[in-house]
Amino acid sequence: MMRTRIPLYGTLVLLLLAFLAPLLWALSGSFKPRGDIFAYPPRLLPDPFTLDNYQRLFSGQPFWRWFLMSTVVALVATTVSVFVCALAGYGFAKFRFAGKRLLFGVMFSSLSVPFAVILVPLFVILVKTGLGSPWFALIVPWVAPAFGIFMMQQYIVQSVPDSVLEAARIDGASEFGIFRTIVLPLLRPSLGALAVWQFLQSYNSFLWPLVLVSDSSQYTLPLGLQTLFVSEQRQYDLVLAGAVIAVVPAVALFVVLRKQLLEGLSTGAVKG
Amino acid sequence: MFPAPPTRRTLLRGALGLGTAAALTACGAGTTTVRTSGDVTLSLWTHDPGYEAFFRKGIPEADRLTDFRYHLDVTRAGPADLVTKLLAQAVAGRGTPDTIGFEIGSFPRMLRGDIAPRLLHDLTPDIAGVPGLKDDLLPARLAPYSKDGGLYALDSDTPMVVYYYRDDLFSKWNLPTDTATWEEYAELGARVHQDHGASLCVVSTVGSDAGQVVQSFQMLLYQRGGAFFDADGELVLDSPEAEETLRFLCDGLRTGFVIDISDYYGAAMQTALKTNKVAGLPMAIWYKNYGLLPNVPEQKGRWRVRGLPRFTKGGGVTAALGGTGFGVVKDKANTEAAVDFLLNTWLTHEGQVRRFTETGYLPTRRSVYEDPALNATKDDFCGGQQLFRLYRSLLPDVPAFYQSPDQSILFDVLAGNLLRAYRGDVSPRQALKQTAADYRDQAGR
Repeated sequence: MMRTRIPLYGTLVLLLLAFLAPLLWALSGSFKPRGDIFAYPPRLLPDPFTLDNYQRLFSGQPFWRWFLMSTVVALVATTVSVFVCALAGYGFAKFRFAGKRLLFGVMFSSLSVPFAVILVPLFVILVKTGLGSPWFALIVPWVAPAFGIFMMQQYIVQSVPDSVLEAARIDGASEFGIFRTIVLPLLRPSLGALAVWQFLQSYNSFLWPLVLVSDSSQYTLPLGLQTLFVSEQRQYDLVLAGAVIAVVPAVALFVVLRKQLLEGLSTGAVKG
Repeated sequence: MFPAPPTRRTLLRGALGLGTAAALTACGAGTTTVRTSGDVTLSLWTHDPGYEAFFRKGIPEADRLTDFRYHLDVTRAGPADLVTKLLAQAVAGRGTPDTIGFEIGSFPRMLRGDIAPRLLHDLTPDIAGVPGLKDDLLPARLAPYSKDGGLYALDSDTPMVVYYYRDDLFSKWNLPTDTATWEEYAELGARVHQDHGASLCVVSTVGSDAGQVVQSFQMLLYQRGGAFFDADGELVLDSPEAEETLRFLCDGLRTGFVIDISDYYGAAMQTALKTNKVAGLPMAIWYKNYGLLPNVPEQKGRWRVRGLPRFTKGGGVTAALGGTGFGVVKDKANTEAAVDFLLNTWLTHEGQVRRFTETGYLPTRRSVYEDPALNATKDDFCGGQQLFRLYRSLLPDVPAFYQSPDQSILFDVLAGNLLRAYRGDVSPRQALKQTAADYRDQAGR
């Protein structure tokens, strides 16, 4: 039995190495002197090992502020959007109201509109309405993603029985109370999956912060790391150190929500 | 596979370019109290910290020469990103900088429609107001940033293309360093490749961006006397000079005289340099500071620079590649202060001397090439060579580089067809004809 699985495990290990290789290379490079990063033949283990790249990353630019800005914005955007998506998805899934099909169709069709297309109009609207401050505006585009609403609507249709909601209503629960105490707990696996997806969307966002933020101390990580790379002297050493640190929040979130994420994805797959 | 489909960012640029001219009309010039003296904080956008350092050091001199006391608020982003950001801010009517550095390849987006005249201050009258300055500035470096008689940015450099070579390897392999023509060089290079596995010329290929792929060809094309666009922005690529240049590179790849590298600045080139696979290459003067020094600092003293070998059929001994033009956003409170700042840091004799000594960028004023201090400068990386004297001798051959609003389209289609020609899938003639056809199809002109 074991012998028959060797090819399978071997393939999986090779795939794992292929996926991990860029991360390992970045991790290794971040501890190498600049001149060794592209040394030939390449060495995986840094020799000499140095923390100089990290020291210069923290001392030469407002890296901690970039990190904080990205993480806080992504966490707030994720928290708000997960709640909004669940609420909107619940509305579309379980309520009848005039224009529901049209509204859902419009919302669904917006999935096909690239963000680049609405970038400038959204920016102009926020500026003209006085809501263009970075902390607020960096979060706004991620608050009600059509994909998240659609995902929640689909999950609620499949996983939340009408009979449970009717029973709660008969017991006198308010509509928001039903949503909070019955629907949200049932959605936990899909909320975890949505949270990870949403966090990465906001955390990796580049174009929107680029247009919005001019003060380099308010840059997000992708924007800050880009400034290290695009100067005439491409600072691979600093970029690699920054990239390694940038991975941490995403990995941490995945570890925390791993169970919900896998459960949510597998549930969706089974019920397809 | 070729040409590559437009990226999201390319689409965004296009959308921004098309929409901005109309949107800018609605913005109009608001009432602005113009600052004419005193403390002023200029908002400066640039992609390179080197420019930031240069301008900061120039503040005392500008303070002395003007009625302003300058402070700088600097924003950094990628060259193309700066233009995207500028256009978006302009449409929104807030947040535009006072001064912005346009990397030359990003500036054509400003040439679309009337974006440049609407958004940027025309520096022509300011230049004319300084006695002797207009005639002193090199027309070749004004051309890329001009439109309909207006001048919208001042170049950072006269980025001549020269030939870098490893003096130690040339000595070791008994190679002549004064080979007169590219054709002789190609024969020499084929032998070098056969005997030592090294190449004497480089083209950028798969893996790099379209701009880099095009640059390899562009350098020699302009040296040969060809061009992408004429002064009216019309495509003139499909020419005998272009075909000859491309054939030269394709033949070089077959013999090994030319090596294909994925990135002039990255891992592939660093490896090739460290392992002596590249013993020489044509590149712009700034490549010493931004390509060789960061990648192979241990080869200090081994490199030398000379003028390019000539093509037998004609052309000059240099070309121009790169540059960054600094422009001023018009109709703002700080517009006058920003213009004065540029004139008194960027364009003074002392400023241009300092620019070369601090950043390695060549003056854009003819008279500065006579500066005794610059002519006496020795370059340690290049074995104590007096490079400035060489650059001064090449100055008459620097060709003008005209840009088109649709340059990015050309670069995308040209890069794909160049790669096909390098691989031997199509002939140089076919590649150029196809490029011209693709460009006209996509650009609609």
